[in-house]
Amino acid sequence: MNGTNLLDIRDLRVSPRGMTETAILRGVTFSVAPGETLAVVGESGCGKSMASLAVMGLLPPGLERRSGDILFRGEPLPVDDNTAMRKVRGRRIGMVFQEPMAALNPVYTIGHQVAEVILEHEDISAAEARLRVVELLREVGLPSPDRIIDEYPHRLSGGQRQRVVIAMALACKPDLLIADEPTTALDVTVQAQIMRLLKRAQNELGIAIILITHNLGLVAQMADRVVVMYAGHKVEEASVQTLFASPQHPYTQGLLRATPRPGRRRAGGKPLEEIPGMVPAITDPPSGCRFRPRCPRATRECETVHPAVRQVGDTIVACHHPGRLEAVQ
Amino acid sequence: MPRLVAISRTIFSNWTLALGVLLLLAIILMALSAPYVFPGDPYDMVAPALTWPGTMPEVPLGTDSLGRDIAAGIFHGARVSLMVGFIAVCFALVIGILVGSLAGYYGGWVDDVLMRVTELFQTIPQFMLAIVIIAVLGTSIEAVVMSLGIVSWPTVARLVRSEFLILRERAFVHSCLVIGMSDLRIIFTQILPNALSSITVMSSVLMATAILMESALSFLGFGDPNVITWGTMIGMGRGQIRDAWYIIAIPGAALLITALALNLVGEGLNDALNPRLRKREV
Repeated sequence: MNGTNLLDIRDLRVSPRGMTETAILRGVTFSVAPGETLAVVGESGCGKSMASLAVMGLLPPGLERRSGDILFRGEPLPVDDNTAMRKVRGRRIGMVFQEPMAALNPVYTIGHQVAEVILEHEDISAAEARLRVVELLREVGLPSPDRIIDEYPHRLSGGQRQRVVIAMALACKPDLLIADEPTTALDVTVQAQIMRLLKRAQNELGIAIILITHNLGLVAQMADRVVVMYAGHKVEEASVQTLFASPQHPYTQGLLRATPRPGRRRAGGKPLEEIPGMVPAITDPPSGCRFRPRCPRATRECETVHPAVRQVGDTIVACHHPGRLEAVQ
Repeated sequence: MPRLVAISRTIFSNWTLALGVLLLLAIILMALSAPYVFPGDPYDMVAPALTWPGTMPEVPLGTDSLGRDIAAGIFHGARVSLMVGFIAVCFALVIGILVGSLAGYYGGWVDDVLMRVTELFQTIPQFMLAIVIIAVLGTSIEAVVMSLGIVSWPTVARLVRSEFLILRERAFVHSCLVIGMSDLRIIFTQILPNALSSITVMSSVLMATAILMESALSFLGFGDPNVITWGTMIGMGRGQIRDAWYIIAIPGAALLITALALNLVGEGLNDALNPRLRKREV
């Protein structure tokens, strides 16, 4: 299967420089096939964004990749070589961030900024680039693109700006798009439009998407496969149907129960359940399984040994006691 | 053209800026017209010594103790003052922006090294350092410009660094990284334009300081003896301060107005460019 994957991350470990004990990613493995949508979910601070930044070779200063390979089309990505990575960023892998308000440079026009991506990677004239930009702005559904191209970012709404950001990410027709919480900062109706836009771009261009989010509704609607992360570990991976139908890891089950679903209102109007406790600090992880202090199924075994990743049915899960919990449904 | 109209509208809707710009334009006009209004050397004797202003139509601002026309000195002095101030600030901006942007963008050891060097310059009193540099290079106008530039750049470097520290964390910088832009392009084409408004404001104030410092150097006799400056005139008039105070007062007033004009421009630009105070155009 490895031969056909677009992106393979194998046993990726990231830690603060000079601190061998603490780690932000503790051996994360997943892969993305061409054209598929992989959702990476988990609470804040569990390492979702770090994994994507590691792929781009853009880990914040002070963090380093301690081990693990990142393969793109079967070839190792030169993530430690900034010059080589610059050819990959934008060209092969595009990225969309959470904050469309701040993602555009306030002193340049929309057209200038989108054209910059194209001119950075392709040897074409500014006039040709401008035509491409108008076309791109039309494709991402912006009204009257030939007018908007000369506008400054502060004249656009949040949703429009996120469309511009997506246009920038798609400008060079990348193979992979990493969308890091692309809709968190937008209101709900705009969210749906942006997600439809991403889906359409995916169908037309055949790009693969890594969708980093904590919105499970979005996952159900968009993703083909889901990776659930907790405290720097991958705790569960399954196809989206399997994951929602029979989550194996107690953390995944907790996440699902904490998600409001229309039409599934419990009798007696019980409040939405939550997972007790908080994600442990990376400097002070619990012994054994990282989820143990919050887990209803924790046993003596969980205190000593961190569970290895294993296959249970169609699901890959890292838990000593996987399986459906009677109380889930 | 509509851009020009928009710019002049911004200027004139703000009286501090308008006054500053008008005063500054008047001084620039004076400097430009000096060789036509007062042809010949301003060091030449043209009238009896110590003629009070307003007593002889040929020398409306009077003459000094050697019979030199004060009005000619003021006009020619404006050339030197403005030129010295402008070139010294350009010099300070080039070094300051380079040091500040690299330190602010890269951080870490680059920042440490560059900032220690900057502090080295800041710990030495500016005026003393300027005198020492002139003492080494000799009293020429180039040496004065160079010394003023060298004492001014640390302030620019500090400001640019602080702007870069804030701006480099902004999401648009991450977007540029993500599209594969090189660091130098990000520094100079993405972040620097965003820092330009504070740099502009600072340069006008810096220029006023440089002009004042040049006058002080000339007053003390560290200026170029071949060119007349307002500071030289004040220095040469100080012997007559009790009986012919106008010799000092007139170049002093010129200096005051120039420094005031530049500070008004700086203040006005700050108001006009500060996004928090600016009303959003609709």
